Amino acid sequence: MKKKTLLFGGLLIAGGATVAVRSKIAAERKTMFDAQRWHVITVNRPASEIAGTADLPAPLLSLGEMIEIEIRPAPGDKGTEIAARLIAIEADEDPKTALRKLRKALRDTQWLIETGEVLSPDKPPSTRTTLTSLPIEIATRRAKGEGRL
Amino acid sequence: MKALCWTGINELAVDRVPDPQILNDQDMIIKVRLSSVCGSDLHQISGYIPAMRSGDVIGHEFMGEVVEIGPDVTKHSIGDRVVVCSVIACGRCWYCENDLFSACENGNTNPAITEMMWGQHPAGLFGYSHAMGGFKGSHAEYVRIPYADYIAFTIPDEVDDQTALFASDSAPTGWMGADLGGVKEGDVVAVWGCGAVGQMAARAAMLLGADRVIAIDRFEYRLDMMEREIGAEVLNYEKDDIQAELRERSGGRGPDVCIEAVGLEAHTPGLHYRYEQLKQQTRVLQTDRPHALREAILACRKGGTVFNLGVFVGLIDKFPMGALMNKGLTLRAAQQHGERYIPMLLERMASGELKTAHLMTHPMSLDDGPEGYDLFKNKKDNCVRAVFQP
Ligand SMILES: NC(=O)c1ccc[n+]([C@@H]2O[C@H](COP(=O)([O-])OP(=O)(O)OC[C@H]3O[C@@H](n4cnc5c(N)ncnc54)[C@H](O)[C@@H]3O)[C@@H](O)[C@H]2O)c1
Ligand SMILES: [Zn+2]
Ligand SMILES: [Zn+2]
Repeated sequence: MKKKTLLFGGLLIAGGATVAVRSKIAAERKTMFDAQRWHVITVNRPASEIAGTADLPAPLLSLGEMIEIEIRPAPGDKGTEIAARLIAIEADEDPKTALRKLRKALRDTQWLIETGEVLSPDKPPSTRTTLTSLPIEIATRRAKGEGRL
Repeated sequence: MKALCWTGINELAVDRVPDPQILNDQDMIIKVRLSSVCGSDLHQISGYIPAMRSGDVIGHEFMGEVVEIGPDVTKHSIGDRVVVCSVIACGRCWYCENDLFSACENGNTNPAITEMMWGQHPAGLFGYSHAMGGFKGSHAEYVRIPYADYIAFTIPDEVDDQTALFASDSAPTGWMGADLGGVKEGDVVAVWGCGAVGQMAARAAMLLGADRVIAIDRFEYRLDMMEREIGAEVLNYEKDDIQAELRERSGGRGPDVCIEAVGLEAHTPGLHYRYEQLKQQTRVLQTDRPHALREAILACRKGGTVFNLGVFVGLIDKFPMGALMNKGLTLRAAQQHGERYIPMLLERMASGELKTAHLMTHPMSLDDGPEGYDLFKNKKDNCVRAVFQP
């Protein structure tokens, strides 16, 4: 009986470990996929105003050779699509970090083109660090670098 | 400065927090004169709105006086009396230009959180969790107003503070339900919930030409107020058979437009309520309780529209998709697109067509914030809106 329980427990642990490894592989695959794909914003300006990369504000251009950019009119009078993807990541850079930089640069580009400024989060904060606040702290620290963009 | 902060589930405290600052050239700072509670705050207090942190300043329905302006603010001057929309929107992205202000691309400084939950991020909101940008709320002495030219509106001299206050959130929300629900001349409209939002939706439906407006709740004092101040017919769901009454009062067809102004903490009589609450506590089986939404879908006439104003956050169970599909209904919902309605609402307030001052049942000092929320949450002492004067 005891042996059975042990065996069952062992199976559970092995099963759990397999799930953990699988989800780690899935997350890495997702990062690799995201690192290769195009990330696109649509800004509310006619394509005639954003003819080439020279018309873009600083954030995307500052990523230099790391990215490739495409600009095209959005269908249905929705403005202009600005697409970017990573093409060269520094050898010592984690693809996740490079992706966060790209997403943030795209979001800041939209802010600058549409409103002229990047909206600042409210500060100084009035919040306190508590036992359970860590996940939200991390999520807000990376709020522009993550997401579905 | 002094502010009312969320400190944990069902916990609020009046605290000292740093004064707001101008952080963008389009910002201004206002000194708050009146700041109201709202049903949405209750969902935060009960812990259903994700990404709240201890110390967050809550409150989003407010008006006040301009005390500082950023260099790019052109429409406001120091000393102006303004009402501020609860939704932080840039006024210039594609969504804002198409009057969908609560879908603004540039109002939320934490876009990733809601993108992961909902696929895309909506606009920012004052005092409404870090998922909506983490902006400090209005239950405070001062508030920073981003995009001030687009979200703050000068109050006409004829409109007093107490009336203008509700142009911030509840009046535009109610108006949106009736307007985007497509209410037109001769319609029969049913409204679930007789809080400020439901009352404003009922009044909007009348002003848009509805023939009959029928409002539903269980608190007699709220039903009385709806009847007396708004002029709608009322039904008490603890006493009346709502589905039968609505059919009878609409020639057997069902209401043309059904407006839900209740949200994710809806109540329902009987044991069923406990069952739904239990499921909600698991946060897995469902996160939101949709009783009023279900009722609205069942009641609505074939080909009619259900507009959902009540706040929902995540998942609901037993959604009557069969009724929606086979009756050919349209279901719409939104956080309020206030900026498109506020100037018109202020005009209607000035002309006396839209009355809101009665909603402020409990004017209080900010120091009494926790008590105000106790009255409002537990519907004590005939409370409809507790309003703080910092
Ligand atoms: N869409 C928006 O932008 C927006 C803006 C403001 C508020 N809201 C939401 O609107 C809802 C109402 O807000 P409020 O400030 O009027 O809240 P409130 O708490 O004052 O009123 C809600 C009313 O609903 C009633 N109710 C509960 N269950 C019901 C049921 N099954 N049938 C009929 N009535 C029922 C309650 O008795 C109460 O009177 C909330 O969910 C709030 O979050 C949405
Ligand atoms: Zn509200
Ligand atoms: Zn916008």
